[in-house]
This record gives sequence, C-alpha cells and structure tokens, in this order.
Amino acid sequence: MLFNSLEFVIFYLIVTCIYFVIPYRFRWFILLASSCYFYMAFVPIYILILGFTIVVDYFVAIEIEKQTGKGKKVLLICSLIANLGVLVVFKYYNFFVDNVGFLSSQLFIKNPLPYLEILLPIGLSFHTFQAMSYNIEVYRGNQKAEKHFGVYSLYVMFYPQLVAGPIERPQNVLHQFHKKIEFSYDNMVIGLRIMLWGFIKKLIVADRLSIYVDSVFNNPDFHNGTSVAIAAFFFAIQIYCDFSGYSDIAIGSARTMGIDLMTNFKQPYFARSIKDFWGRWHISLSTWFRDYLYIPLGGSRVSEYRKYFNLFLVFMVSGIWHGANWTFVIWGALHGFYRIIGTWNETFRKRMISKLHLEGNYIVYGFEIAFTLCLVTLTWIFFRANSLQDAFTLLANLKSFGEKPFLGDGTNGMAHCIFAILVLLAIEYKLEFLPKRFNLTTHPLRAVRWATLTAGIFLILIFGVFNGGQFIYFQF
Amino acid sequence: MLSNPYSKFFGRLLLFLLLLLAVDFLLGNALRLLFFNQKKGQIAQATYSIDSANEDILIFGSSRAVRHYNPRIIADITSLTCYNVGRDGQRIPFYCAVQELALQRKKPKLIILDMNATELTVDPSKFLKLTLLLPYCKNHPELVKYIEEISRFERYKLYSQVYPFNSYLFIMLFNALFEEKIEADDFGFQPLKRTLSEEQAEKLIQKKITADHRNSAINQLIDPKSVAYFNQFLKLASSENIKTLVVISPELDQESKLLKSQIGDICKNYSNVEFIDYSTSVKYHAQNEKFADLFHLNEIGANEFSSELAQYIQKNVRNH
Repeated sequence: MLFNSLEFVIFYLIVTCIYFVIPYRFRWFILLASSCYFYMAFVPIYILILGFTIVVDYFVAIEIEKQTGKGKKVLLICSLIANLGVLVVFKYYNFFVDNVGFLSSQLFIKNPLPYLEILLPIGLSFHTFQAMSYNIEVYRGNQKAEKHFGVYSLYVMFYPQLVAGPIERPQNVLHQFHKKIEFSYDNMVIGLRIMLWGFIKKLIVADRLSIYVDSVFNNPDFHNGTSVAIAAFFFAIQIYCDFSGYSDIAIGSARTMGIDLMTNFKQPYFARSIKDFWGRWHISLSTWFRDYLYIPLGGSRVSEYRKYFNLFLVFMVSGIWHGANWTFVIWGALHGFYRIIGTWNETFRKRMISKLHLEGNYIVYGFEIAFTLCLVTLTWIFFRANSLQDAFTLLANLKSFGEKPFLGDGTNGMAHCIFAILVLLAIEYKLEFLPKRFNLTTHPLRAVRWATLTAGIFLILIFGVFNGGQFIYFQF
Repeated sequence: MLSNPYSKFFGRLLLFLLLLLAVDFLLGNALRLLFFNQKKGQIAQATYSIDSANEDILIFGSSRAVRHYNPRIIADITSLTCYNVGRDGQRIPFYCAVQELALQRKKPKLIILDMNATELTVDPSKFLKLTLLLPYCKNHPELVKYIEEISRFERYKLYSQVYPFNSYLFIMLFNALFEEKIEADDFGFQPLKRTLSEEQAEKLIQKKITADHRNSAINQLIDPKSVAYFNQFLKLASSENIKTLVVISPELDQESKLLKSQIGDICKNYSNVEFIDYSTSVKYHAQNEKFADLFHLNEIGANEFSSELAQYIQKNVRNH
C-alpha cells in the first residue's frame, strides 16, 4: 500500500478512528494488526520473514537481559546473525551469485551457484536495522527488554515507518506504546500539517521530476550532456522529496496518534560540506551507522589513517545497505572518499577562511552549498543508474554538455518541473534561514492558517502527479 | 465552547472541508471555463477531436500520426474532408475512446489508424496518459470506463471539480495569453520543420541498436490489454462497416518485424480492414532528409507520404 494512494487515505482514516475509539489497552493490537495488513498489501507471504526475526529478537533480548558476561555477547551475536542472515539471503545472495558467475565466466568455468527465485521483501533493510538496534541497546543496558510480545512486534512493525523508516531506536519509541495517549487537537493538526507537506514534496516535486529523470536514466544512450546534467540535478531533488516526503507522511501520521518519531531530514541541500550533508540527510540511518558501526570501530579516537579507514568502511557499508548492485557500492565509496578528503583538509579550509576574514561571508556560504550540491549530485548518477554500464554511459555523455537539452514532456512538463523546484526552494529556504518568519501554518489568524492549508491542498490537485508510483526507498 | 478536543477537531474539520468544497467548486469551474474556451493549441485540438470531429476521413494515432499525415493533402486528392485526431504520447486505449465518441456523432467514410511496432507491447504508461480524457468525462460519461484504466479510484477523484484539470494550468494560461503566437489548427496536423543530418541519423541509429539490444527482452513482450483494445477498435469500425486502413507509417530505421506482422495478423480477422506497411518502403527507409528525428518524418517527408497514401486511397479505396 503506497502512502500516495487513495487506499492509504482510507486505511489511515479507519485505523486512526479505531485507534482513538477503542479502549487504551487494545490499542497495541489495532496498530499491530493494521501494520500487518499494511505490509501484507505488498507481498503477503513475506510477513513470515519479519515474523521469524521478531520471534528470534524478542526471546533473545529477554535472554540477553538475564545473562552476564560471555553468554550475553554470544546471544547478541546469534541475534545479529539471524537478522543479517535473512538480509543477506534475500538481498545479497543473487548479487553474490552474479559476481561469482562473472568471475567464473572469465575463467571459462560454469557458475557453480544457482540463483534463488525470490523477491526482496519490501523495506527489509529498514526492518533489520531497527530490530538490530533493539538488541544492541538491550545488550548495552540502555534499554530494558520488552516483555510484551505484541508491543515489541509493534516496535518493528509500526506501519508509518515500517517500510522506509525513520529507523527508530527503542529508547525513543517503545515507551510510547505503553503510554495512555489521549486524543489531542494539537497533535492531530500538527500531524496532518506534516503529512500535507510530505504529500506536496512527493506529488508536486518528486513525481513530477521523475518523469524527466526516468526518460533520461532509462535511455542513457539517447541523451546529451546537458540532459544528463539536468536529469542528475532533478534526481537529486526527486530523491530528497520522495524520501523526505515519505518520512514526513510517516512522522505526521504517527503524530496524529500521539506518537513521536525522529526527524529524518533537515534541509540537506543547504549543507556546506559533505559532513554537514550527512548530518541532515537520512539522519536515522547516519546516526545508526555512527552509533553501531563507526564508534564501535574506534570512531575518531584512533590514528588518523584508521579514522579514514573507518569513515570509508562506514560509507561502503551504507552503499551496500542501499542495494545489491555495484552502482550503490560506488555511490557509497564516493561519499567515503569525499568524507576522507573533507576531514583531511578541514583545518586548512577553516584557517584559510579565517585568514582571509571570510567567516560569515555569503559568497563563501553560497559557494560551499553549491559545491556540496555538485559533489552529491555526481554521486546520485550512480545511485539512480540502472547498471554500472548505464552510469558510465551517462558520465561519458556529459562531454556534450552545452548542447540543446531534451525537454521531456515538452515545455509544459518542464514548466511544471521548474515550478515544483521553486516551490520547494522557497519553503526550504524559509525553514533554513527564516525559521521564525512567515510561519503561515501556525499564524495567529485562523484565516491565514486555513488559506495556507487550502492553497497547499489545491497546489497538489492542480500541479501534483497522481500516478507517480512507489517511493524510491521502498526497494531497500 | 468546544472544550472537548473531539468536538473542537471535528467541528473545525467540518468547516475546513466545507471551505475546500467551495474552493473546489469555484476554482474547478474557472478552470473548466478556461479549458473549454481555448481557441488554439493542443487543448483546442483535443477538444475538437473529442467533441466535434465529423469529417469523412479520421486519422487516429500517436505523435507519429500527428506529424505524418497532412489532412489538407489527403482531402485535396481524395475530395473528402479529413481531420487528424492523433495525439502526442497517446496509445491504443485513447484511440478507442475517441473513436467511440466520433462514431456516436457521425460515421466517417474512412478511418486511418497509424500503428507502430511498440503499440501492442507492454508499457504501463500508455494507460496513465489517458488522463487527457479527464476534462471530458463530465460531458461524456462513457469515457469513465477508459479512465478507470489509470486507477480504480479515478472515477471517485472526478468528484473534485479541479482534479480533471490537473497539470493543465500553465499550458492553458500560455495559450490564452499568447494566442497570437500559436499556429492555427491545420486539421490536427503538426509537422516537424527540422531535418536530420546524415551524421545525426547514423549516430541515432547506432544508439537505438544499442538500446534495443539492451532491452530486447522487454521490447518484445505483448500486452494482452493493448491487443484487446486494438481488437475493440477494429471490431467497432468493422461492425459499422467503415473502411479502415491500419498503417505503419515510414520509419528511418526498421522496428521489430515480428511485432508488425502480429498487427497485420490481427487485421486479417476483420472485414473492411486493410493493413499497409510503409516502414519497408525504400522511399523513406534510411532517407534522413525526410526525417526530423529517429521516429518522425519532417514536413517534407510527411507531405510526400500523405500524398502517396492519398493516391492509394483514391485508387484502391474510393474507387471500390
């Protein structure tokens, strides 16, 4: 079930109404049942896979809490193996077979491994990471093992964030499922407002730009450098609006039920460096990697070279987490490389700016933002390309930058793309630089608030794309 | 007053919904007025095709039909009135919808249906483009069954007065504000003026070969739904005893022979339906000076082709 479908609107309304109507002690059940229904709307049978990891993690966490010393560690490793094992089989096995096949063909021998006829369960990577964070936190003693099986299941199955995050931590969410949450006017209004913003990002911006992006990236041989550059830039905006739009709808729908989920994006394209970008982009994943991979590897409290290695490794793992394809590995590696270079010359950059008395200079600020956007956009070419061969074809086509670009659906389509980007830019600029001004949706005058919300809804009706398909991050 | 959070929320929600309904009604009707008062441009042509076209010869098809068939030339040679109801980016479900409405008004003497090799292959976007029919559903409820191909909820979305005009605002405003800059409707014909150089043609053909090779498995998949629509189109024309020419217009580089022969095979099942394949004609094949791009003839090529087809109609269709 897609958030941008009428099915979801009906589902959401029914679930939210029942949630507040039934007695508090049954709420976990209605949320869990509706989450299962939500997930089964994709491929029903795959709920069994989630069920397997839920059962394992539930019992292992209780045992971890009871154990001390080595036994505790062994149990944690068992649970990690179970979670990662499922992920490896469903997500990476065929990729591995592909690569073995390629290598064996180079050696003129038959591929010894068979392919598995399986589809990747939707949102498996998100589910796995959220489940792993629970057991790690119980192991570290930061979280008590959840004794209520239904509530634990709900923690990893909660429908708003089930298939594409935010990847929550048990400390933030679990206790909320035990709280008696009263119906709140403010929560409803704030939640619906966040959802509306999510729908605007998805329907007006992401799905509009995807029309042009798909035309170019699905036919790499036919497009010149100008079209590739436009498509890459459009994809940078598309993936942001698609993913953060999803997060907003998730956060907003949870909020209407009185449940707070973590912020996942903070105007990432206003980042002034790659480091800054990763502090604003997919925050729930980047903090997950920081807490459960980078810091355990030694983080930055190690030698300089080891620190660079840790950074690179984290981004490589992040790349492969996104998808079983070399395109994602290269995407991760490029970000790792950027981070190493950025860390290496950070002191030098700061000293230079200080010596030239350029602190707070708007031109430098603008340059940093533009430069970071260019670096990130380059990596998105690998992320979006259907194959490594396509990615290199697109990069090679950049040689012809300056030629007349492809206009996609014509000037009307392009006008809609530009309009969508301008709407996004205006709102993001306000959120980043003018947080206390032009707060039209929270304005003291009801007429202003309602006019703003009405405008938002009609912007979607007039400029939105209603058949844009699923969210990009669902595939992960 | 309204101290209970439920009453407060639902009371205000009700008021807000009423506001939305009022805005939807007003804005929707304003957009409707703007849409149906377009004098020139693609919307005006679409409205004419759907609401009024009643010529003796009607030409159906996608952008290739719009660019390849000059109704003025066909009308001159055959002495019959002719209009090109083809639309950019549309596929067989759209042609069926327009045909159904056209036949309710007046039976044309001849139907020309431009097809291409990919017309019957799998491509979900061919149904999504039926959104072009949304503004006309209010006056033509029989179109609703076609727009349900977009999604099963499409019928309900039409309760909104604004939704049918989704994505039209810019083009409507442009057409209204710069009417004098838009060329007058030439019976639905929109020729392409540019010419493909030999070098460009070679480059494009090479790229197409690479792309076709890469997507060969997908490109050959037949879509049963499209085949059903194609049969529906031919069946209706045949049952109304209207002579129908299913034409594959000239191609710079030949598309799949297999797919084209399947189109020809289906045509054989209907009386009064003739299949003509110009894609193999040496007059056009690899003749870059007659093409504007890989898939479309330019004005010179289109006029030559229209003349050739019109003579064929005059000789083989009108005189029999």
